[in-house]
Amino acid sequence: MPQPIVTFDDVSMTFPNGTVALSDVDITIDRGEFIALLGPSGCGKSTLLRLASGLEASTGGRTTVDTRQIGYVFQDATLLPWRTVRKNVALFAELDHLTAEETRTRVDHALGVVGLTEFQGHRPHQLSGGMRMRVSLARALVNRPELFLFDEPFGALDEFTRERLNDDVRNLFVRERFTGVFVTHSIPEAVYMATRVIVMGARPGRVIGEFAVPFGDERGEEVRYSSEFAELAAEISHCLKGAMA
Amino acid sequence: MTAGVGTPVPRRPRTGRRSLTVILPIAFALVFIALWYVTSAFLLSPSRQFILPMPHEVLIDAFLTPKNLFALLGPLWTSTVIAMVGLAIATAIGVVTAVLMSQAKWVEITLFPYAVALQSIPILAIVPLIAFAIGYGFESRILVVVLISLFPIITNTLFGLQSTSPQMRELFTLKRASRWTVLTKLQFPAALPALFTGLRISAGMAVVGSIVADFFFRKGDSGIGLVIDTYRNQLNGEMLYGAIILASLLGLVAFWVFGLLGRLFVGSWYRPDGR
Repeated sequence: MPQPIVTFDDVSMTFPNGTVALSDVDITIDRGEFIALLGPSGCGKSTLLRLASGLEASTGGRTTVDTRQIGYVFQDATLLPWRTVRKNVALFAELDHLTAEETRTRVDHALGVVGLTEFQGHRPHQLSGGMRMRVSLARALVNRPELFLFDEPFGALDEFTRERLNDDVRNLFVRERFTGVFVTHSIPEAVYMATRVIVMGARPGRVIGEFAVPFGDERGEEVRYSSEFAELAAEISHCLKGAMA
Repeated sequence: MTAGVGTPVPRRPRTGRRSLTVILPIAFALVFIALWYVTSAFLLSPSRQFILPMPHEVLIDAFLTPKNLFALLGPLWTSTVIAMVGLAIATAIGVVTAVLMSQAKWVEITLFPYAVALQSIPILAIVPLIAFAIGYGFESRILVVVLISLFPIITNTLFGLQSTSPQMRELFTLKRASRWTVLTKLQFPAALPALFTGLRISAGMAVVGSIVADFFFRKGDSGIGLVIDTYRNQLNGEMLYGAIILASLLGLVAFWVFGLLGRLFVGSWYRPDGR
């Protein structure tokens, strides 16, 4: 029996300037899913993340989130430059007033997972862009997220770093079994990352298609360059083009 | 020649430029001193030479004669203390004002025009008012210093407090952090580089304020400004120049010390290019 963790029920969002960011969006995300929200800019996919995390409230409809353990990764690493890597990762533990002991355990674990234990004494300006994003991942992991929201997280990085970090996120997902929602405008990235791709159209932002991804936990080059991968990508592309025409 | 091995080519012009940055200012100073000698020795008639004594005369009279040197150092210390006390008060008032402005837009809207006005008041114009209200003592000198050094601290601190990105603030919103938490863990640390920039500017202004105030508020231990005025009246050129040189050095040292303090506090993480 699938258990929903996030439900968008007839959600609409109109900004004060009159822009309709979302119109009648119905999405149910079950625990254990990895959802890619795919669409052109202005389709309201990031707004859905902001609604799910409580950063914003919709102007119509209901958003229900069945957990308080949420991880949020922004497009930029958004690290505090005066803090060391370790203190940056500890930020949420600090804001939650966790004990020193608990904080240490969680921060050690998170740093280990992203492979930055050696760099815990560094400041953000001493790290590469990819490393900074990994610090940002580790910071979110400290929340022990049941729901992990990624807002085009690696868009500013070069292709190689981006693919490596995507694999890191996939491995994390397989290991920690959170529910993932990943915003992207890249079709191959959406197919590679997700268990289900939700395609959105712009003006107004709405859901225009849904595709189950037939691949399992093991994803690598053989999946990325398989004919099923290419076919699904082509189908999704067709759906997007149909909406834009 | 092993020293040159492996030295990247582009480094060379840079080292050259660096030595130029030392040589050129020194050359300028030498030319300046030479012109000073020429003016003093040849351009001024002997009866007017007291206007511009020779550099070595200033050095010997004002700095190498212990009695004269102490006559300058005492007042210099008094001026330093007044400048620093005033700067400390201005920092306290300035930081608190900037924090209040950052917390409530209406406070900023209400107070900012007056902060700007404060900056544009010709300080000399309100000196009689200060004398009239609180007299000719230390308090008046300190008040002048506070008035002259307050503005850069308010504006720079406010700018720093408001420099955090919306996303950084959202990190705290995700955890429903209180205003106080956002202020102490995000805004205040983020404001430190700008605060130190303000302090450095204000430190220089505080010295100016302290010396200007000496001319008008003469009660209590004399400051270096009063000493300058006295030597001017006595037509004592050597001591006058000595006092002016010391006062200038005080301003430079204040600027330098607060620059150093800033690097000490935020140098480990702050990169002016925003990285």
